[in-house]
Amino acid sequence: MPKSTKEGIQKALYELLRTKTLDEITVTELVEQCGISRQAFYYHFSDLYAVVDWTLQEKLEALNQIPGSQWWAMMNQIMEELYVNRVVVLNAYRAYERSYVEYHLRQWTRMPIQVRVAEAARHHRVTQEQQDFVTELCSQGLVNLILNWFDRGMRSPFTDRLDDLYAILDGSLDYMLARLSQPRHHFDNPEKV
Amino acid sequence: MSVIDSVKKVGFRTIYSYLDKDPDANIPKIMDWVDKFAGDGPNSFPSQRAVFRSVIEDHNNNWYRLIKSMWSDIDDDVRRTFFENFFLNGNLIGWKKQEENRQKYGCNIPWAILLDPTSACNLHCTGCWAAEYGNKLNLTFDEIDSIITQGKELGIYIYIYTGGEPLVRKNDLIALCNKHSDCEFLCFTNATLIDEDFANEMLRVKNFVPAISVEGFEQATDGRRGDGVFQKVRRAMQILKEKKLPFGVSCCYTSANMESISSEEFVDGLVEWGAKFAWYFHYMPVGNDAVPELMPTPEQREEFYHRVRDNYRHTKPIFLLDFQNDGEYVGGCIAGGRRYLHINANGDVDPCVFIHYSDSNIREKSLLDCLRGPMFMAYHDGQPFNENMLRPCPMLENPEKLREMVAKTGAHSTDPESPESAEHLCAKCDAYAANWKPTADKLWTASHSCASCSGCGEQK
Repeated sequence: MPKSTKEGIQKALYELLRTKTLDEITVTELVEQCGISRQAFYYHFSDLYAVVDWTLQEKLEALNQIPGSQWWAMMNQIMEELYVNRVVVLNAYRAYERSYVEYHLRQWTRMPIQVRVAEAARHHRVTQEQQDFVTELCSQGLVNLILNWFDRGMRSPFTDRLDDLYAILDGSLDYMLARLSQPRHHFDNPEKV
Repeated sequence: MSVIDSVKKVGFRTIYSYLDKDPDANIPKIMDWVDKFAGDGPNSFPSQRAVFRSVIEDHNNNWYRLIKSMWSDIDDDVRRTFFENFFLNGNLIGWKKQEENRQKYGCNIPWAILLDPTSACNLHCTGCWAAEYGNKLNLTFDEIDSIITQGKELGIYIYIYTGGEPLVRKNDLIALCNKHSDCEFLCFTNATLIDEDFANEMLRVKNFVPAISVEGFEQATDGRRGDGVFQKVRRAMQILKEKKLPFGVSCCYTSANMESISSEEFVDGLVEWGAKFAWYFHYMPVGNDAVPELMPTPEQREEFYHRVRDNYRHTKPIFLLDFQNDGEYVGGCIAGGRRYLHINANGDVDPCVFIHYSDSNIREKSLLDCLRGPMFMAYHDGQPFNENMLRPCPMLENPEKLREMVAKTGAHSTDPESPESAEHLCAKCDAYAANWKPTADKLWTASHSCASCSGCGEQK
């Protein structure tokens, strides 16, 4: 399958998203824009949402190719790209269910945070489940920040907030993991230590 | 989608995931659950459940082996898609919609649509109707897309390509699988265009199942289809098996090949090659160039009836259908939109793949209006055409019925090359029908006396 047709479709969709939301665009309009037949479009994609999915999938695979130590920097770069292309991003975002976007964002944000948690965990006696719990907690926070950023129209760059988050995580990951590795008081039974 | 349908989907997926984890252990558990819910009321299908129970408790049973092979031989995602599209959409959800529309519109609403994407074929086999159609006609991508879109509105999720050789249009077919990912697509094919690349595309879309035409072993297949075709077919089957893709075969039995194509050796061959289903078709003397002598004799047809029912269905791990003799399981003739219809590459909407008389064209009318056309309504009002369902067809076993319907509705021949009058066609069946009747009546009486039936559960 020639990759160029798929890329042509992707590019044409990007152009159309500059002026309207994803749910306002039709396949017929898209194939006119890139000069292919409807069947050529459907050979590659089941619908327009599948084009967006593929774009995200490609980015995610690219992220998987680079070493974990560079994920945070990559995250920064992606957020910068999203900001620069915010008109297109919002026109796509507004056609999706929020829960669907949340599901995808969770996959994305887990990766850079996971790496930092694993790094910090080397100094603590914690289980894999406990590490996963901390990763989940932090990435959920990040997901909500990004969703709010989308909902409020992406008015300012997100990279500043990422920097803040990076700074906060620095000390607090250690603190959280340390707390998890220690014996603790139970709320329901103060006697049991 | 209605709330009930969403609930069905969620329930089905939950059961499927459970089954998928450990089919050996979980099939019986699901059956326990079914028994509990079915209770013992009049509509609880006790005899059917008993049969299913005996199948799943005996691991050497041929049906159990067939079910199990769906896990060992078929790709996980393809199997999941098949269960979802074929069983859930095509039957559980689709059936309800079809029933509602049958009531609402007072006409037949099919379970499946057969359509010819093209009349073109890369082979030129003797006696094939496609060869006589010439190589000129095509349904466009947009036309097929529209048929499927209209079909789904009516509750139809199963589409079966015929032709012509559908795979001449393989890119369009993949595109349609991709676009209608909630439907299951089957395809009659000579298999010579199935290669490694196409198999990979089938794995990508997950909802395309070929039914490969074979005439028997090498000599018989090459004799009708051309030298070297059998080896190409075997190669295609090997590719499909290696890629863990499901496929079946389609066989046409005639007075000439009956002995070999219905032999145990051949059915064992099909199982070994990896076919999961085998569709057997009785030779039909359709077209001006047909050879009526190729119609099986009553003795041959009876022999096959016994081989299937007394032997193969109890011993072979393959889903074997003998359409002409299995009418009783589906209430007789299924054509005319009752369970299926046929749209040729010219857009003519035929009642059956074998009966090319129509008054409607999909290029001029909606699918629903075609179903409400005079010929389809004549089928609707006339079905079943015979109480004896070993004589199901309005052409082969009841030729006076087709004559009458064509005369009454003014349907015309849709054969674009050499139009055949209904009289010419039916005259070829008169003697056959008269000869088959005594055997059919004997077999029907033998299998439908109270002594041979457990249908109502009462001992008599």
